[in-house]
Amino acid sequence: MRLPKGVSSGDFSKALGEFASVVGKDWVFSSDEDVAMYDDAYTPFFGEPELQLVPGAAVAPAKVEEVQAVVRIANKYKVPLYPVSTGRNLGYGGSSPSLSGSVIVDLKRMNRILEVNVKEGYMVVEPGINFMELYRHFQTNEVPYLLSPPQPGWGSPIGNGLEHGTGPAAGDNFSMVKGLEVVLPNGELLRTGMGAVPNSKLWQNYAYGYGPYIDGMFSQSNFGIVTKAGFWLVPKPEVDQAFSVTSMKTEDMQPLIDALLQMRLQGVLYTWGIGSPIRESMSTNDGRRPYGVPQVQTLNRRRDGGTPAEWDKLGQDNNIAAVRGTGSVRGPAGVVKAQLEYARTVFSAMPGVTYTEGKPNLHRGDGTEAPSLQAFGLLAVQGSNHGHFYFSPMLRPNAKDIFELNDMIRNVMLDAGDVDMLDNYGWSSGRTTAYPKALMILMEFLVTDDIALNRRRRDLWKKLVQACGQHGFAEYRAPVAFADEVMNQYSFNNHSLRRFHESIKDAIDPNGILAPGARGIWPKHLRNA
Amino acid sequence: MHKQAMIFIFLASLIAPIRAFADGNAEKGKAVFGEWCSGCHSPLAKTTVGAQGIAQPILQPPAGTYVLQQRYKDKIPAALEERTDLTAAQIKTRVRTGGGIMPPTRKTEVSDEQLEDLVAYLTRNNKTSAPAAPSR
Repeated sequence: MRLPKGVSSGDFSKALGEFASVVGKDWVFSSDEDVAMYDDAYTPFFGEPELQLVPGAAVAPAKVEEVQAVVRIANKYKVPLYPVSTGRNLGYGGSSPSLSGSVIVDLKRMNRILEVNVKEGYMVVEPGINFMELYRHFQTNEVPYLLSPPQPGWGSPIGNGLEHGTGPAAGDNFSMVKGLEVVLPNGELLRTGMGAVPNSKLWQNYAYGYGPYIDGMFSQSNFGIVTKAGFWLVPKPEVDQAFSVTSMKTEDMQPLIDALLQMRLQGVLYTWGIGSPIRESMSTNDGRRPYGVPQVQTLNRRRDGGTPAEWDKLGQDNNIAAVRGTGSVRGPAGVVKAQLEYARTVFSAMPGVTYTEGKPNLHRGDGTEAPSLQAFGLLAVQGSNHGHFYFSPMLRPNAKDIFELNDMIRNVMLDAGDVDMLDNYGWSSGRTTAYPKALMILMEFLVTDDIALNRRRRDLWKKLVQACGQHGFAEYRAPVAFADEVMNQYSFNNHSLRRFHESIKDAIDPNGILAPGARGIWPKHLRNA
Repeated sequence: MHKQAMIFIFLASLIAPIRAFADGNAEKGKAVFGEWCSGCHSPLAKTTVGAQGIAQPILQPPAGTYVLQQRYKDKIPAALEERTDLTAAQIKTRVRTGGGIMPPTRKTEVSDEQLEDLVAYLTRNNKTSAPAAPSR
């Protein structure tokens, strides 16, 4: 058993015993075999157990009162806790704690759907329910709303939302979170916004309430354990249809972005994206086999990344577009028809741009929007034995920043001599905007049997994060083990943001028992350890 | 021979109640498989089954079936439901410890009792197995 730093085996055992008296002995896990199930299955430190973050035990409460009791006991013995909703955040740490020896608070048993309000379009759920279970409930009960699951879909809407995750229906899933119930680090129960009014009639309808709007404080933080959350839902549209616009000229990227972004801001589109098919055609970062042409890798490997004229010629020679934009519209059939007509008019007026409409999706229950585990297929075809982790910087949707970030990434990889990684990554714009005004690159780092290679890749990951920070870019999310590296980039005014987080942490969690170190927020007694 | 047969029947009568207690229910195990396994272990040819029984088109090969097909090269069925050689120990170990890109499945997700049901389902066609135990 791995003990948390500064906690005696006697106190740890007493805490586990008291946890058992609250949740029942069957729901406290302390044997090596049981606790190992909470390790990060995709640890970036495969083969280096001394570097891995591992839990000391796990406890699985079934209701909020049990969570409160567990937190109070943890304070009594100063035992660190690490809560997970379903613990399936693979690629960002899974159920791995931020401090070894922590007791995982596994919320999977808290899996109730408390309300689905069809008339007003919201739901209230507990953290243990996952997207697949929810989808089945929606199908069975013919709920006329879409879920917004990430892939794979066995994660929790609460966990995903609080981690600022994204999904196809809502894009920014945290933007749909409306009202939280939180167990604070002292065990007290808090409801945010209108939920603070006893017998509140509109907790989910008007989430701000009165005073500071603090829901964001419980996302990507270690300030509380969220035990209930409301979500606004996206109505299932009569029709959902996409279109693409392509050009054989790189110089058309910015005009296409301008047009698509304006359509998004007007509410004509609900998602849009931009890419360069010729530049991305040899990338295997998403698991595809290369279908491009070998000269693509030659240009991508060059320090200057190839000139627009060279890329345009390569694209023309192989009939692959230099630029491709996408847009999605949805709603009643008549509205969708008008939106597409508007898009067709806008892009038909742009010389050299080809506009193509996709097939309408009529949401007939064919499962195309269903959460699934198919994403693991992408991982499997890459021959990965030990999973992956992500480098995920955000960028503005303009051509200048897209090329600047790609130039930076390419040169960091070339400096590191990692041509394989560069070939796999190739070039990326992030392709689709989950957020209205931002793109996100998801660069996959495979964990391999080769420990030396894994070390080089971790080193490359850190260099990329640092280089991003120097160029004004930063990551939106990070593997648990690398939280400090990412938070260090948010350093304006001598890290005033992190110091503010720490001030809050010290005030509401003086014993530092809740997820110490998560998202780079350490309690006082561990801050310089 | 007759005496040996009598001894066998006697021993079996001692063992049977234990098996009935320890073994799972294959029908329930099928539901567990649909809930937790089929998302990655459905047959490659199937195009409309997914995790938790959700009907959906398969855009990528199911991860587990793909990996096993690469490993066995069709000498053994890659889809777990078509296997006749899996043992209880193999199934339990794989579910609880994972392996490769498959993460462990925890007791808050699949209980020990459900795991017995899953074992009953995945070993239902084993030629060497004892007669199926009655349902709990």
